[in-house]
Amino acid sequence: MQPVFRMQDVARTYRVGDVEVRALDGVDLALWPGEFVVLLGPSGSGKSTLLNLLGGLDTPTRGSVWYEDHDLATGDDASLTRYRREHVGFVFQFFNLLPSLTAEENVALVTEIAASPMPPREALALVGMAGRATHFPAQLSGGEQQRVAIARAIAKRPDVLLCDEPTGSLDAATGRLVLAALARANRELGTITAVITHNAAIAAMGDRVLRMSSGRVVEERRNAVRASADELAW
Amino acid sequence: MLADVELDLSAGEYVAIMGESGTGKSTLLNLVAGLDRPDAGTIAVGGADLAALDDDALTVLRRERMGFVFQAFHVLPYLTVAQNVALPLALVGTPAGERDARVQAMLAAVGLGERGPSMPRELSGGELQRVAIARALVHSPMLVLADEPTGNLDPDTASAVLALLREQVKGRGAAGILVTHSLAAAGTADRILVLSRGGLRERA
Amino acid sequence: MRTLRRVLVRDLVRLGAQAATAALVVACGVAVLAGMFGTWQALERAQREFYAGARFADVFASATRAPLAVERELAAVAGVAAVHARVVLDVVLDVAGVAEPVTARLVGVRADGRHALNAVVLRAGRMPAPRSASEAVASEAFAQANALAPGSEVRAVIAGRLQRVTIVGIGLSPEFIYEIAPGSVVPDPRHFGILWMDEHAVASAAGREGAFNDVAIALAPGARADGVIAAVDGVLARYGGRGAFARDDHASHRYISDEIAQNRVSATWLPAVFFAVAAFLVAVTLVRLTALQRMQIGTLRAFGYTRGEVVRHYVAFAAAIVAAGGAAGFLAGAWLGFALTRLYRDYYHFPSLDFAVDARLAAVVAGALLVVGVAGAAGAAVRVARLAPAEAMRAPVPPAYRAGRLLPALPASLRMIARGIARRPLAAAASAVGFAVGLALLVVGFYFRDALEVLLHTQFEVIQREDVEVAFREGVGPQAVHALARMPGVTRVEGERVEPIRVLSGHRSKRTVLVGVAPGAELRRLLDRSGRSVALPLDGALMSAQLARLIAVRPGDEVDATLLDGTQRTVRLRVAGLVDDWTGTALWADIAVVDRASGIGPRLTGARLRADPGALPALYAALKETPGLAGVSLREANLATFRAILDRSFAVSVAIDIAFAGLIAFGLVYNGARVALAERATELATLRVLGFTRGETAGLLLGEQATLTLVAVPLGLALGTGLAAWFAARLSTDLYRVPFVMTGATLGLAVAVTLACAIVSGALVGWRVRRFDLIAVLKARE
Repeated sequence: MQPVFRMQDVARTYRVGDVEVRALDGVDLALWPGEFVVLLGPSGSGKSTLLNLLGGLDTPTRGSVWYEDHDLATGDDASLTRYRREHVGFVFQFFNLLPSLTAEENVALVTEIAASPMPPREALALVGMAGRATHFPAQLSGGEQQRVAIARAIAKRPDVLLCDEPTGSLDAATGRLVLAALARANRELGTITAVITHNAAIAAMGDRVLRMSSGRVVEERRNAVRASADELAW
Repeated sequence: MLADVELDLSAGEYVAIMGESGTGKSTLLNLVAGLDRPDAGTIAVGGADLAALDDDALTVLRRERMGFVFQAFHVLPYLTVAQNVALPLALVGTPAGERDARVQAMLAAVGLGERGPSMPRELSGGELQRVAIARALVHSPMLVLADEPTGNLDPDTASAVLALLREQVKGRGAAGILVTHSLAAAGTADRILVLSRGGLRERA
Repeated sequence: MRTLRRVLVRDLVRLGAQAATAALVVACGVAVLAGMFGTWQALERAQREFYAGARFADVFASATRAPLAVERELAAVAGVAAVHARVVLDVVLDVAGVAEPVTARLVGVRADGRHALNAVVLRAGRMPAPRSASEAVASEAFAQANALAPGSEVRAVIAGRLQRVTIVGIGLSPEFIYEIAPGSVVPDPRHFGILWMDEHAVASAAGREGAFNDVAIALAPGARADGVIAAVDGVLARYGGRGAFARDDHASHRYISDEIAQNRVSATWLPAVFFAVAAFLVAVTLVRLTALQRMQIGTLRAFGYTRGEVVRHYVAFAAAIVAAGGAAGFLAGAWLGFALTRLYRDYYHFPSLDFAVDARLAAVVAGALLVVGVAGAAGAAVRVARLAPAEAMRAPVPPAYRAGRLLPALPASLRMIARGIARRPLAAAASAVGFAVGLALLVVGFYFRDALEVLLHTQFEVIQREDVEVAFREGVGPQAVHALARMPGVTRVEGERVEPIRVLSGHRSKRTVLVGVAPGAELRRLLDRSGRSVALPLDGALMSAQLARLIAVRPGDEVDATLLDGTQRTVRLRVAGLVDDWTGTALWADIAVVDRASGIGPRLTGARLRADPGALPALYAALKETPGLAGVSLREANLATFRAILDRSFAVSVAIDIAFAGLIAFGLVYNGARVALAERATELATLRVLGFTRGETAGLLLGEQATLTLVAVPLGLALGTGLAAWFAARLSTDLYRVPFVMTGATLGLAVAVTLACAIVSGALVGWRVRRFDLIAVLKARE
């Protein structure tokens, strides 16, 4: 089996004022088909940067990033945009729903530009939100908004689902519902799922857990058994 | 939104209020702060019945007797750290000389003695929340209201900020209410109250 | 893409008020552009078509009496394409329903009206029958002002006899688009008009059978007017030629051409002001929108929307505002254009003056909208395009305020306002300048009214002191004064001798008049720059300051004056002083000086009378029957007619000025305050919770706008005053000068109107602070 993502010796530095910040400093990583990976680490450990590189939102200062035969390290804006459009689904900590669109319209926003999407209603049904299709984000609770965001991410049948602190602004019970929706998408659609979080409790859900610190992957662990979302405690 | 809530708080007492989303934590906070009025029942702060006060009187009550700490800090970006902390003193008319001394003492107490002249954008999240705590306490309020003060902070920073908040509230003889959905945060209070549809109950 | 379009529509609705203010200012710009550009085009087209259709002449001349054969002589002059010789005679009319005597210019026409030049265009009725001395075609303005229609009758003293003349038609001529009596300052269609009569009848009335006293000449293509004028003067010298002149010195042509030129200027810069403000508002709204929607932009990009698609989405926002404003403005502009051209018909009389919405106008408007759209959207588009998707997802960096030790003593609230302005100095400056421009616009609008008031007051109350001015058809002896003095109610008579001259100084020359004034004259004042009466010197002359500027003469200099009375005598005159008059470019001298210069002894060409007010009706009746008068002009009646015309047009233009300037002020303040409210909602809510009262919070919100507004007030007043001075200089011509006056009332009114608009819009936004849901605002993620 070939890895879907290959990252070699990747570094990413930013300039903030006069200071040079090393967000990633020599990361090697491979992601395999159907995998559910949890990236753990405190804020500033570089996990968001790693996710941005995987998602084609950013390019590394050094090193190579490959998704199958797409070179994500040297791609220009147009090719990265195409990559994101065809292969990636994103879930964000703050949901990033467009406030002026209903739940269904938020999903349609993505399905309209996808090659072989599922109907928005079907995606909402997958996350248990079919009944709230015509609600605007302001009429939904945080957990409901995040589930709409997941529906939006999976509706285009992406090859990879990248989630940045998906439960970061939710309480535990709601967080579990959201994680269950993610696990279901991973299981039923076979989408590679990468979740970054500083909540160590979520680690039990992953096939693999990577712990990051100061821009490096400092620990890699494989769970023999994946916990289900309702087994998590935090 | 909120039904049958009863709460008594004495000076130096620091309580946490927990509750699922939608149980009315924010409503409770608004009522105590005099930002909203209850449909029934009475709220008194320092012996003053809030129902008897008009908007301006409530404003005066807030500026003199209360301090606030928010999840998103809300440190004013165009004032220096010291000017932010001086704001409540300016509002109650503390003379300039005394004001500077108290601001400096307060900043030292939250571990930011050197950062007075800095602009907020030069500070980290944890430091910003320390500024907010200093601002909430500098005018020696009777009551400090903290709404998810560590919601935007990582766990290590969060515990340091919570410890500071507790120390400052209790040390200055104020009463404190900490609203949070984090059990770890709530654990720093003297007692934990849980808000639910049924009302406010002591956590078992 | 359908969903993205839905976002666009919902954002437009959400930001409705702000988008609407920007659209309204766009609409104003388009309205002004379409209205004024269209009016300018309409005037130009009307003039061009009328001139071409009626073959308006290029050179004009008059003589005392030239045999008709001379017409052929003139036609032979090199550069002359066509000649039309005729007889012109000024007479006094009695028009039913008009108490005052009316002056008419009788112009000889051929029965078919088809002259080589200056054809009469019939609007109603028919041309006078051949050789009929009792039929005439009346000019349209004159007919309208006096309710004359074909079949109406007027009575005139012609050839010493009181005759009845029947109006058989209503006509127009390219010579009299602007109908103004000779020597008059303002049009007065009720008391002055043109009557076209059979050429033989006019010739015989004037005692000029077989001769002409007026000629119009068309130039051959490429011929220069100067050469032809010199040749014509040569030919007519023997017949009492009064000096030929080109279109530039033709009163009607000059007025209309100056007006068209002014329209062209205001059709350009006025819309430009609105478009600049509109582009600014669109830019501010859009930049703010993209700043607020950073995360949305990042999200769309993360999902795979291309940079172009996202940029297009925001550009469409600008396009929607501009298109909506453009459509509304175009309709308003068409209305404005129709209204303006209707007003112009009061002043200028064309066969057709029609505002037309044509392809050219649409193209100009579309071009302007494109510029506004691009200017308004460019900033935001660049920002959106530059925003890296990963960047957009990160929490925005807090705005970079600088600490600054500049204002340490200021209270915190003022410091917040100061830093708010300092953080975006360009936007603040643009906003202040926009406001200042709106104010300046109003100052200029009010100024025009003031300037006209001063002009009219000076001319009609200070300079002209007579009740009645009469002109004699032929020069008469000084004893005519006694005959006038014996007329009913006359208390004072002052004779006057006006001679056309060409004045020469070095290589500069100018065709004008030399006015001989009776010694001790009181009925016409000559004023210097500071408004004091200047005494006439016993020798030498006083010169109009405008003429002195034109031919570069200073007091004490000597000039040559050539009399254009046929004698072509040239005399040397010392310029003893300057007269600051508002109209014309005359020279004044003691009447004895003029008499000596002419070499033909004492004569009078006119007189000024003062009369007992109670006896005026009797005086009028007597004047109507006095033979030998070429015209009567009545100070008060002239002023009253002109004022009626003026008030109508000023009412419209002042209303438009106030509406537009007010809208600019309203739009800028409203927009600025809304932006401040959106950007600083959490700060303001924080302050409310910390213990700021509602008033204090609203004060902080509006403080920035209030400060900018107050800064803008002196700027706008200075700009308006400067613009007024510029207009005064620019609009001043030989015909009249526009006085520069700036009154406290004008400045105060302009400030009051703009501040009122600013306060209303500020209050609208301030009201929102009262309805703040504090905790909801604070709960929202930064």
